[in-house]
Amino acid sequence: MSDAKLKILITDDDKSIQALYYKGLPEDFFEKRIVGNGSDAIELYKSWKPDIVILDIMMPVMSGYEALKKIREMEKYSKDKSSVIIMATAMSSKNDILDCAKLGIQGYIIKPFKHTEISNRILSYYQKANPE
Amino acid sequence: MSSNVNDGEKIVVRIDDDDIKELIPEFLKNRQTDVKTIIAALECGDYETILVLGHGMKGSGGGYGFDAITDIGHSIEDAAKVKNPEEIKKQVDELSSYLERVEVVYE
Repeated sequence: MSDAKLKILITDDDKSIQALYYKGLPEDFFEKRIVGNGSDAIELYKSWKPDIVILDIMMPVMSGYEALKKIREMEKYSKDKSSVIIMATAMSSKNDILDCAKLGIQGYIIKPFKHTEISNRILSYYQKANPE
Repeated sequence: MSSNVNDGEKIVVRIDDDDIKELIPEFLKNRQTDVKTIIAALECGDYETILVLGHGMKGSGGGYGFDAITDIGHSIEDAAKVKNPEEIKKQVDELSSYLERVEVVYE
């Protein structure tokens, strides 16, 4: 992996979860942006072109599933490299992950999670999707 | 799903993570706000708000070291899905009791 920071867009409407992501993703490796719904994620995705997108499934305004659909649709018409997309959901909603998998995701996060574990997990998904 | 809180006893939660320590007071304060919000929502039959708050607690509690909050959140979410006011009241009472008795020990 190169020395450049990975741009990571985190989408979750829960402020407590946002704080865990912020604490768990070190500044040395990640340039972070955090938004609270899928619609804001789409807008930032278009302007910022993140390397990694984390999408919580259940969110107001636009769900993570809808945001995933829109991002994958946009990528069909783009020459840019596809983002690594990781879905996040609470532990009893694993079936939602299966629905998202049909649209193409590179990983998932089950909540609750410990902030100390999140960085390695995300990096692992990214490296698997972008082997050098 | 039930939480594992015991009536009347102090509940000690040990936190040894420096990164999380500064977030804990606000996290617990927000859960106390959730109690009030859920009670108000229950009075006007707003199960959507209750479901969202329960879902949020389910997803965050364990990440901060409060597995019981995850459990209670899960129960609240499930009760809101089927619009069961008695179960919601029971769980929010349990949450309120937990928040009163929890003592965080920073190590």
